[in-house]
Amino acid sequence: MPNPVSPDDTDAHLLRLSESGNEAAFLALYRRHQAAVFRFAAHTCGRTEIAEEVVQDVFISLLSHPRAFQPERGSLEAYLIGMARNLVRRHLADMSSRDIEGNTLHCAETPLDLFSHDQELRALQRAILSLPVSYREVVVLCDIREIDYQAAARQLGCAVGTVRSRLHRARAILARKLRPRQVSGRGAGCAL
Amino acid sequence: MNPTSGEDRLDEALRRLRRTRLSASPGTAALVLGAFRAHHERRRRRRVAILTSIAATLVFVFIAAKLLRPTAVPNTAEAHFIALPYGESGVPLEEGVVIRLDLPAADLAQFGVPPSLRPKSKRVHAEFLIGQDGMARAVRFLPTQKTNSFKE
Repeated sequence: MPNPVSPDDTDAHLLRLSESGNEAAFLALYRRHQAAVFRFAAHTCGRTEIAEEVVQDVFISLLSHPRAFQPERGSLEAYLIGMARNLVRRHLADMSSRDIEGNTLHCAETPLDLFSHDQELRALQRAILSLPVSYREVVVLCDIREIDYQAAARQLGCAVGTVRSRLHRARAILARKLRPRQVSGRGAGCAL
Repeated sequence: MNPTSGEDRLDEALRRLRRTRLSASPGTAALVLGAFRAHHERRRRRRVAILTSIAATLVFVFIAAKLLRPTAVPNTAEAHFIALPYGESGVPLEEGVVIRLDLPAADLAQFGVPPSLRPKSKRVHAEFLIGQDGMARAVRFLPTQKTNSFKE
């Protein structure tokens, strides 16, 4: 009989259980982290179908090589996001700029929010996707996932100062792109 | 709040974006779960195959050890040669050889072993002292053990 899984179980414990074939433990890990991986991938590449594929590949890789995760080097979520980052970069290398232009994310907001803010979110998504990938990753990690600079720096394998400066520049670009029409005179979200 | 600057709009939009609930579809969950099951099924089969081959190897080694076990050398320290009546031919024993035989007890009569000296068992292990004339001169019986001697 498989060991019961508790919501308080640590990731390392759940990973050990799932390694021994405990399906409930693996499902608990999946449910705990899939949204973060999907979110990162979706916002970084702008394609939900690629984000789905990335989630699938990340978790299949986790079950194939569970020992590759070393808890002393960071959280499981950071490890999964790191894998997702590599996969997204690979996908981005394959994608043409025309593909990126036409993509949209399907946001599962409440209907009212979605209805009233869709245009603005679309504009923001388009602006984020127009950023260089290294800037985009920083925005997704620090401004959307809200992780601190040090964790982002570890995740991206760069210095904290680099994260700060990239984020500063990225935000400046995004703010310029989202500037209201009457102020910029060039049309928000259209100058991509 | 009605954001007017680009920074305000950005902050507001980012806040809204953070509130969006994005997650992989149930289809992806099903695919990942399917991959998990397939992975562990493959592992289970591999484990069964490994255990089966280990068990087969152990059985093979056990059988081989049984078959190839070195045969025990009979203890001859306590047995004494008994002179055979046919051996008293008058020809002095100048040289001889000892041969070890595993033979039916009934065949001992051919060598002139008196019935009173024959062991009770059906087969006997015995060493015969053969003289230079080819006649069996003496015999001694060995404890009943497996030997690698000639079988009659």
